[in-house]
Amino acid sequence: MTEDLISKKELLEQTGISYGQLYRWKRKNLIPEDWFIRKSSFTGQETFFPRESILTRIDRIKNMKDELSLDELADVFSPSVSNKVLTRVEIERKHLVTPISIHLFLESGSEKEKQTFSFEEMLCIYVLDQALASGQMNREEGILLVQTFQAYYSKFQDKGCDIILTRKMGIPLFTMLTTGSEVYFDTGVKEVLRLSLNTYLEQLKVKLSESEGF
Amino acid sequence: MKNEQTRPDLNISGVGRAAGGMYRHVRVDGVGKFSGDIDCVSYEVNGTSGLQGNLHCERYVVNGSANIQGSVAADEYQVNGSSKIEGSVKTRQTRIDGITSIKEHLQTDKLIVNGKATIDGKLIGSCVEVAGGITVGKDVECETIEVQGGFKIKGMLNAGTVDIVLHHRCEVEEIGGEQIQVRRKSKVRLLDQFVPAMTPRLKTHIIEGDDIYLEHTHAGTVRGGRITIGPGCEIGAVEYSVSYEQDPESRVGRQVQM
Repeated sequence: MTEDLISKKELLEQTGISYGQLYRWKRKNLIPEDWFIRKSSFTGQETFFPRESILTRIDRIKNMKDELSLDELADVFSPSVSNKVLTRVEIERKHLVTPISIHLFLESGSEKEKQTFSFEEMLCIYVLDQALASGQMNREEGILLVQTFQAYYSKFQDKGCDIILTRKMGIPLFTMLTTGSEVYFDTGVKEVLRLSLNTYLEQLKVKLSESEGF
Repeated sequence: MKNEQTRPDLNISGVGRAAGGMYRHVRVDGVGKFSGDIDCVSYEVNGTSGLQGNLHCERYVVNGSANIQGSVAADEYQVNGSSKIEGSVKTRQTRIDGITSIKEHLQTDKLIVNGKATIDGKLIGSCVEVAGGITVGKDVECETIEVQGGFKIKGMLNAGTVDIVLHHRCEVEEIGGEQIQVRRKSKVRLLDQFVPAMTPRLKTHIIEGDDIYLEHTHAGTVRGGRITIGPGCEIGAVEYSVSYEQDPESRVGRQVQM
């Protein structure tokens, strides 16, 4: 995977933050360790970051740090799941996901009349919702997605993971793997969707913390 | 701690073995061996003890020597003798007046080292005071670090405030933080002229911070806002954004304003 990288110096110039701030955010786990990419250059060692991710992250920290403390922010960005429980009514009222997705989620499980959802289940519905909204996945595959998620998400614990949807001759196949790892398929396989669960986790946490005020 | 009242005490005076389990106070005055995880209020070793398992307690005090095969989670961790942990340690307060070695990480709020500490993993804390010596295999992350002794950090030192008073040789891969200050209190000793390898100095590749003051530092690159280079430094390149001052006794390869 060849990513577009940005050097530390360039990053600080562009965003106007200081070394101290960058290191403080790193300490508070607002910037993940594995974004610090060390490379040797002619002046010794230089640190690089994945350009897209770091710029959006810093932008978000700068925008949100007035309302939230650094520790609260760290919670938003951490890949670990919070232990919040949501009711169905709450989810619908906050417009977190479309009712179709909730319905589909319930259909794929054993409890059809579930009224409360754990944060992990909520995340699953959210991912399902986003995948459906992308228009690249149909409802049947959605059920498969939910089953894959529920069976294996806990195995990744706090390490972030991606879900890939591939199709070969029209047959769907879901794969879950650790974020950033490379994966190769044979030529007949088409990668349809790659969903980074960390991104969705963050989005969901932000949405929840934003809607708290209402 | 739950059902504290119903837990038994465990005292070993002389030589003894015990299984793991839930105890109130565990105290070894001779030689004690435990074969299993222990959950207790206090774990005190005055002689020699070995634990094959993890330890969870409020107070961990070693006056003699202790060896723990697993990890330790404690409120207070105090070593006056010697303690060896094969796993990681998570505590609120840590004080090392003797010797301790930790194979994995140490996570603590306050760390005071007057003796010698060796941590093979990471050190994560908020307030670190080192008057003795410390060796860390990976990164150090803390809010403030005050050093009056020597250290060797094989990873990066990332702290809000770094205050180093050089008494021994200090070595670290990289320093990053807000306020970074490296000073040398003592005057040049007679010994230094004959054995230059013994002179107290800091050796590092990169220092990056908002306010930097350095003495007797050998570094490849120093980057930051306000940089002051005091006496005795050898620095490859300085990149500063706000201000720069340099002692004539120091050597700086080149300086650039960013």
